[in-house]
Amino acid sequence: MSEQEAPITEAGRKLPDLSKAAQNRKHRYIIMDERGPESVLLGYKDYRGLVAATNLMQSPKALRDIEIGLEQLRTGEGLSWSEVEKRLRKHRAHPPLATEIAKESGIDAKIVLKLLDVLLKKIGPVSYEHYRSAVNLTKSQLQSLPEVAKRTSVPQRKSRRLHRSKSREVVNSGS
Amino acid sequence: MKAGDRKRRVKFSPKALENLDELKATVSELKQIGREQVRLGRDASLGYPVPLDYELFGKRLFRYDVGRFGLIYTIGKYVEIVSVV
Repeated sequence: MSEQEAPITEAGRKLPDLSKAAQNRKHRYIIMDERGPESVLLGYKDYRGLVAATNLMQSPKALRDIEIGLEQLRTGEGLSWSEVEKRLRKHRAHPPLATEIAKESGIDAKIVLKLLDVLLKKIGPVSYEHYRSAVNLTKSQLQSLPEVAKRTSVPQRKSRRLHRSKSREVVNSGS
Repeated sequence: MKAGDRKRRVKFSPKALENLDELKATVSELKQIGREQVRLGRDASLGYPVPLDYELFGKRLFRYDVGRFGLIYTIGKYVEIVSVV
């Protein structure tokens, strides 16, 4: 990579060549007018790389993730795409919170997942924080499920059915 | 495939997988990433170099944009997707 000054009139005349050199040979040209440096001509990939580096440096989490990722790859934990797809599918089917609630309450994981989906979309992060504990969440859902369903426009028949099945499950598990 | 291109396999770090999950990649976005990672495996110079050297790991970083995701990768025996931003 080289950096050189180019007077503005000359740069204007040679712009196609300078642009090609900037992209292909990673040259950078400082465009000068009579007062001094005015702008810089650099390749597009070069520019995108600088923007990406700036963004990464502003995010400590992204930098930490890179370090963790590099370490994982170094220790041979790299996954092929088919493994990535398989794991994501499995994770989607039963995310950890849904699995935890299903285990605690004995309710079918698919129903819990559906309820969580409705709740998380409608009640927002503040209320979600309030119900962080999986046990509290299941208890609160049991008491207020019809209300929540009413507010969140789940069809009433469906919500009654869910409520009935959930109550039955709790009674069964209690007896 | 361009002349001189060497097909490299692509490996993803578990962290990249976690990032995709955090960013809530949809099924269609995952399919797009799946297609693009094949292209990247054929021509690792598709992305652009990110001037951050990880001396500790002796790696140079590159970025390849797929939709709203930026795949941060390094090149070695494999194209290694380090993380996703």
